[in-house]
Amino acid sequence: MSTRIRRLSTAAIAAGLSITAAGVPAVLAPSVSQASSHREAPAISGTPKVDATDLYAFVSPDNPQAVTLIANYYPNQEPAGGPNFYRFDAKALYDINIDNNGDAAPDVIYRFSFKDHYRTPGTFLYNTGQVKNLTDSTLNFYQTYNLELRRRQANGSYTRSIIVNNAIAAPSHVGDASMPDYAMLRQQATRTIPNGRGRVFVGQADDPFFLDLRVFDLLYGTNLKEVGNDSLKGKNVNVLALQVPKEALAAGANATTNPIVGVTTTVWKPRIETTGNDGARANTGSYTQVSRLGMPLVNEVVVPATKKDYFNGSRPFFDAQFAPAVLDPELPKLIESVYKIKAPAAPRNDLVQVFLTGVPGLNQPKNVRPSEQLRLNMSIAPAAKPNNLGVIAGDTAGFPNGRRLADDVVDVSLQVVEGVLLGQKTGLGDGVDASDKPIGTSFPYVALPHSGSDVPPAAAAASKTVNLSSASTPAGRSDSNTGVLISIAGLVLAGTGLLARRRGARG
Amino acid sequence: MPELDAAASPAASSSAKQHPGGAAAAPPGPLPHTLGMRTRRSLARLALVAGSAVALIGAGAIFLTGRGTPRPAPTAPAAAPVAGVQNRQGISGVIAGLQARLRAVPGDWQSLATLGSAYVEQARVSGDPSYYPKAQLSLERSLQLNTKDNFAAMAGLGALAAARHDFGAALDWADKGLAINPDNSTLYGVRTDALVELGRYDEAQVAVQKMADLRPDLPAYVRAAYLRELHGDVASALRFMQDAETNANNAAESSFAIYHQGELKENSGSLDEAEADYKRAQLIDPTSLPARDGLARVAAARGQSGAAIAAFEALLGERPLPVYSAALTDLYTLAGRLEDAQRQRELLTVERKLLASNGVNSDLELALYSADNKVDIPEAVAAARAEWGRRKSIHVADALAWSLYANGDFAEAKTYADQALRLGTKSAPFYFHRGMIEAALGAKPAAKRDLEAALRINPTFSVRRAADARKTLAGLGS
Repeated sequence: MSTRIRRLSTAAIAAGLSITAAGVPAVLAPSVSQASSHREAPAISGTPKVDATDLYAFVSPDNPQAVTLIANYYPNQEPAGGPNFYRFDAKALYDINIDNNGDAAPDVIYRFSFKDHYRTPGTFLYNTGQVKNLTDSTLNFYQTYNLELRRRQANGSYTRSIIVNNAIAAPSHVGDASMPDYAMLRQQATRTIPNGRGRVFVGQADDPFFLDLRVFDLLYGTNLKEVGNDSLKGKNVNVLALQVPKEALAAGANATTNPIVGVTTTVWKPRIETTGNDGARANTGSYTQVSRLGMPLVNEVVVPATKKDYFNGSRPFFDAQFAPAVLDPELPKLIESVYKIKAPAAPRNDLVQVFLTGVPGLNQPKNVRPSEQLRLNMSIAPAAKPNNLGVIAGDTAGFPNGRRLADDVVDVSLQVVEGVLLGQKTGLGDGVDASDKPIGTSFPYVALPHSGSDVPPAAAAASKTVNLSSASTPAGRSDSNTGVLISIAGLVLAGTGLLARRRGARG
Repeated sequence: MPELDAAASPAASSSAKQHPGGAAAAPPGPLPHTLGMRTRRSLARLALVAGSAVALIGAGAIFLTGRGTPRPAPTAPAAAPVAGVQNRQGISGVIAGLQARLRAVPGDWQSLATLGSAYVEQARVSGDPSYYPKAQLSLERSLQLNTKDNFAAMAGLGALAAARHDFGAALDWADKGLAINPDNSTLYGVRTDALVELGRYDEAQVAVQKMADLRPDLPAYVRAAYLRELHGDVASALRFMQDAETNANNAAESSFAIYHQGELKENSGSLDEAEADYKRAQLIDPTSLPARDGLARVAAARGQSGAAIAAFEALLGERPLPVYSAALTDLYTLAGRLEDAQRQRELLTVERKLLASNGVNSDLELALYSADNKVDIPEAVAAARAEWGRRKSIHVADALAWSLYANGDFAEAKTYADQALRLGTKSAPFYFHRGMIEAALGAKPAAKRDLEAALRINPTFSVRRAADARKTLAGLGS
């Protein structure tokens, strides 16, 4: 139920259709000399390099004076059976935005920009031998990045300073033969930012997100036979990770009086002037927002599939437009009509708090302007014994007060929509409670990436079977509207089944 | 494009336009050039989005988008010590993954839409038009399962219609999809392609700008490049194709963008540079048929007819594409192998039937071929004229002009030759055709000017016709 889910379908389209791009001459060209009379160009191409998957923000457990921010990109990386290489977009600007006064505008921006390098130009080789250090000449292709810090001034302009210059990003783990000691490369790519500004890591990692995508198969009328497998097992992502002093984020550099920050990411790409009438430049120097991400819930509950493209170009400042749909959501009513789980009464101020404003007394800033951001109260100390259900399980150091790598946002999302914050406990979930690789205990916390020499995982070897035969089967799948209804209900059905399993496991 | 409405955005400071590499104390971020428009639109939509009915479907649709992603089969050997910098993910593997997915979840209309579009791609890449009916089945099935939100299937059906050269239908599908999702750049891509082929270039330019504003990425760059090329702005076209290359996500996309850089250079007569690009395209994607096609054309242009013939015969042996038969027709004719040329003409008829049986209309291409080879001229004129009734693109105009010329209707041919050059396209064949028509009309200065233009644009534009151009020029006197 995170952003990842829609990203996964995007990835499928990308995978399916970026190939389209691949060169297809005209079907017919009547003479050697004739230009093709019909250009067939890529119709659909994915943009995985700039597709945000998940955003995390938490007070660092081993360094409670600092906040860790992790923004992940390039979903669904398949390392196994490699070598496969996944890069950042050298034309894009990757921003991590901090709103430290609740006005839905960024006050602090950490901006990453990348540059491609080939040690031997004109070759398409990734590496030419074993890579033991980031600076080895055998790493033929590598990317460097700059990190720019922008701070908003009272007059609305921003100060800018480059705080990391020409740092080398950790490469994709193409295989153990090429990179026998990947941990060393990770270590070298984890840097201290000068002048006490914190630490930074850029590179590949195991995808820390986890869920069983098969709960969604019910959407298509398929009987759910098993869930509880991490669909992202063995997958990598590209990571931007920062660990910065709380004061660097807080308004007035005072994290005691201003401890609540909102975090979002945006990615920008250069605008294209398609008429080419812009002098010598290929673009006009202005940028277009191609992606945004904050909370892992609001996209799924509020933004319809046909509005996602619109949403990706929209700005948090105008998110109030989505408030009515949050206040009186249809999803719980549908669930009630099919599965008799009572829908909480509207208006759902609890959902508005989770999605748009922050929860009063927890992570809602003063004078908040409603907007979809991952809101973190930095004054709440890391939990000694974290509960991956976060706030709804009494652990206020976790989601939706920020988001830790291990937080189970799928289960939390389902339960929040069904009113857990209003006291209605359902225990819904997808049966996956942790990522396949354990997260680390120190920055950047994300696990090392899977290697290109890994053997592709055998399919569904350890599935847990859930018997749903006793559950009622929704009827009437004749039209698409009903299909939608059944789909949602199906998800919850899966959750109900899992609830039983989870209780069993815990009991 | 409207400027940023500074009052509407708290993040807007002194300037809406900015360059991130600019001076210190600049505004926050690259404020989108499109923000003002988006803002107004979002406000206009407020009521709609807020409406509970929409929200209801929306909520469902969100879940509907959530699904497992098919896993393409890995193609590279494990633990290879040396890796290319681009991923090689084959369309066949993608299709296999989607098929497996659909065996498990037959009702997954999104995977069906993706599979349909993947078949369209497979047909193009492989040259096997039998994938088109498969594409149609998948896309129509997907649409049956969900009509309401299914802009992806509409995009696929639009791409399919375009691949079959039914550009009116392609435009209809694009517009149907855009009515559901007006912010989808892919649909604007389908719309752009259709408008280009319908000869509605100004509207196509608007559509491609919209596409680029929504997603400034490879698909927009390659379309922008093509429109620049058609407008005779080869330098911008080349620059956009280079931008496309830097925005590629995989080897196939890189290879596509590099190939087209080579084609632009080839059409400008720069054979060495073109060859270097084709080799680069082949290096990054060894399976690329266009790269081999380009290399074969370069060999032909250099007069290396033996090598060119061998290369095209090899290509034809792998894929029965009319484009290869057409090339061989020229090369055999030039080499005096007239029986072999005739066999290619017969083969081309079979190849056309194969296309037709899979829904692809190739009448226009045949018209040009027939006019070029002086066979079935009246049929060629009729086909080109019929196509002109449907769409007034410069390529249709050129084919009609050239068939009318072959039919001896020089005066009428001239009006269409003018139409073919109405955008100022730097096309040596277009100038050659008009020059020959003008010569037949006795308009010597015009003929001289156009034939010289053809040879100036690309001295080796055709293994057969460049010589004709020179001969005719010589006959025109000085």
